[in-house]
Amino acid sequence: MRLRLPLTAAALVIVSALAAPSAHAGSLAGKLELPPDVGAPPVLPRGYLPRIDNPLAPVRPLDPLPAMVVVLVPANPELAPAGKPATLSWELRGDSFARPVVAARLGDAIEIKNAGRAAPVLVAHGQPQLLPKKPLNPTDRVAFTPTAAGLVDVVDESTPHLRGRVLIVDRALYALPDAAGKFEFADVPAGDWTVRVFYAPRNLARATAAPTAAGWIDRTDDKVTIGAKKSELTIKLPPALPVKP
Amino acid sequence: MFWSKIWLFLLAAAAAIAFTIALLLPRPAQRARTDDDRQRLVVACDVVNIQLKSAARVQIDVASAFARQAELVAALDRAGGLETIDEATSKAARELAAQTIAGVSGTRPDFAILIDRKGRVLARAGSAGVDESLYGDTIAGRFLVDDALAGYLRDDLWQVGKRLYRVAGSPVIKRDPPVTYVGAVVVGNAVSKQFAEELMKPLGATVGFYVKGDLAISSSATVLDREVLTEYAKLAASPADLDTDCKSSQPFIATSGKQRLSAVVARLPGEARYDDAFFAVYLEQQPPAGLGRTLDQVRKDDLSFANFPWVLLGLGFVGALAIGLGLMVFEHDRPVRRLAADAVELAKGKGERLPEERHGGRLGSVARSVNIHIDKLAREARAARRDLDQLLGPADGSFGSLDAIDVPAPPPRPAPPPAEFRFSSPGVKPPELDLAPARPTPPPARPATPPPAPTPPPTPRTKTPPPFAAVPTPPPPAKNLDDDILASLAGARVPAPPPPEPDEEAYFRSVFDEFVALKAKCGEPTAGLTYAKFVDKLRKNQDELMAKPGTVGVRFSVYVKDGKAALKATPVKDA
Repeated sequence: MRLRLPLTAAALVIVSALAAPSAHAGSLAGKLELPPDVGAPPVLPRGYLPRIDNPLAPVRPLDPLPAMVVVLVPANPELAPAGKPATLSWELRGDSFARPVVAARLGDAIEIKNAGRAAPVLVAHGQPQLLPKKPLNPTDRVAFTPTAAGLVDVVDESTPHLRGRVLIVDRALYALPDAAGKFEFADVPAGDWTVRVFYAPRNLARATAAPTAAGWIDRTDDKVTIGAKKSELTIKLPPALPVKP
Repeated sequence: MFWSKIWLFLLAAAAAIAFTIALLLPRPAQRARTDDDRQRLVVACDVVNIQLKSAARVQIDVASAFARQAELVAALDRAGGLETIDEATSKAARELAAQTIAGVSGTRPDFAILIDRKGRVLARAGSAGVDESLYGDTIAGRFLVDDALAGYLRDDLWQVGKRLYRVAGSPVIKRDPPVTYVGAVVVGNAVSKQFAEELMKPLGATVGFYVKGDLAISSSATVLDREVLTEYAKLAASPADLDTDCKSSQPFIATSGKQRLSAVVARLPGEARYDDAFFAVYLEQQPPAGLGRTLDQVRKDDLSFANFPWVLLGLGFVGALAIGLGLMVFEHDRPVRRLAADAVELAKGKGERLPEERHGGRLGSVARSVNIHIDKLAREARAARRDLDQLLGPADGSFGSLDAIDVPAPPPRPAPPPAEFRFSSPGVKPPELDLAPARPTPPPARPATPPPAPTPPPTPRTKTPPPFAAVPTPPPPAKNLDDDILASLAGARVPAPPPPEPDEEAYFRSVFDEFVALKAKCGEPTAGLTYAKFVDKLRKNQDELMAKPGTVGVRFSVYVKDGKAALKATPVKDA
């Protein structure tokens, strides 16, 4: 009995040492700098008349930041930490998701929580096996686990406007920019990384049609070396936000 | 009759053409009517779109006015700062919205939705289309709401519970500096039966709005069958602009029970388009217009003198009738009357033959046939004379005095009647005669049927009259030419005459005695001359002469000719 306490203490020390961040891990903080003129919001399906600018205030420009994901790709794939699969919660608020584009690592589960009052029939475009084709009642949840990296388009078959997009990354880190375009990666293993920006504009296609094009913003990717210090990065996005697959 | 036949042919052709036109005319009229209906449908369809656009513009104005309400701007500004929207805040905003709806002049919105800057519903107010108890949910994401929150005024069509709503949205802007967007307002009106009726009121058609394959609302009780969905399916995938649907989609025939209708479909825009929303405009199809239906639709004023050429028609009728009657008189009545008059003259003995040259065509053939028969009788009379000569003397011509009775030689005869010409039906046989007594006989008193005439050799003719039909033989007079013909054809087979009358017998005896005495006086032999033969010959000559028209008796006289006894028969004419 006298040895039990010291042995337990030793084990805790070892586990704590393994669980603690690497001594070489760093962080990356940055900001997405939008081009001066991102243009007007996309033209949405109209009624009988085309939309009219209000006479009292300038129309709000397009806000593409909620549709962007900053991805950190290691030069050496083994640098990417292989953490345990997690579950990402994605809230459905009535006629739209809380965030139109989210990201997850391959193997993570995405759980959609219906916080609205309708019962949409959500399906993953082109991947019918991911989501059961049945109404998601209010307060209900449904989870799915993508099996491949890439973009998953979640569409409601009963409405033309309820669309969401999930970027699945493999052996990479991701961060979602805030309303000001700021993002941060914490606990990044030291090493060389490439910063890429994924842009998934609003999907305006019908449920059965090919989704609106999305992809990596066509620019010269930033190379960063993560060390012990916190790195800062400002990413200037090109005009018109061109994307490539 | 040639021109009569031509005229009849022309009238028949005109009647046939008129009947054909009467049958054909409704068809182009039907086509024109169908084209008119189609054009009317397309116009009605376009008018529906125009009216919906106009209504959308009015709605946007209402939404814009709604969004400028100061209290409403303040309420949305406050709500946007709240973490969650509480019931009291929502209720206050709802009452505010209800008051604003009530203050709208003209077409009031059925509902209004107040949305804060985060896209959350602050309040719902209205009589239809919304649940006023609901608030706090996010409706950002709808195209109209997103555009309104971005600063645009616009309209849309929403489908809620298989009902269509015309909606319009406007941003709500706080105009006090700093100018900021504080939310949006949405006003909506249901596409109701009353609205559909008002759309169609000036057009006289029916409009039906469809959503998700079902009829949402119609301006009348007429509901189209499933064909309308089939037609919409053809249009749904069209990449063409929605504004061109009315003109590009072809009208089609739809049914509603037993009713047939012409219809056209057009897609509806906005979010409802994704719910397969469309509208159909339809008209009852008129049944095919045949001659009978066209006549049924003739109105009284169609037959008035102002609208119908009665005078022209009357003149045409009278003209056609006059020409027809004139041709009948000219080609039929007058020639027949002329022939009848000539026949009467012949019967009265005022002529020996019918004047053939006065009659043409078939009547000329009739005249020629009669003349042929008259000629035949004359030939038989001469033959009888020769027989008498042979009887009374050895070719001494004593009986040649019969020539003195001046039976005229027949004139040159025109062409004989056609081969098929018959005096009577060949099937009619002459009656059997009693041949027993060989004594002098008067002409038979009973009628007889003329035997078939000998067929003359065919003569080329320009026109061949049709063959005579068998003519029923009328009851003959006491002395009939036909009887003589029968008698001559039968040779000696003369029917037994009745016993001679005493006066006639005495007359014949006296003539015989006188003749025998004269022969003896002239030194001629009388050995072979018997009274029976003499009387027989006299009777035969008497009968032949009695057959001539106007002859009422025959008188015989004895005289010396070239030193020999001769006998002369003279017909006694009716005074």
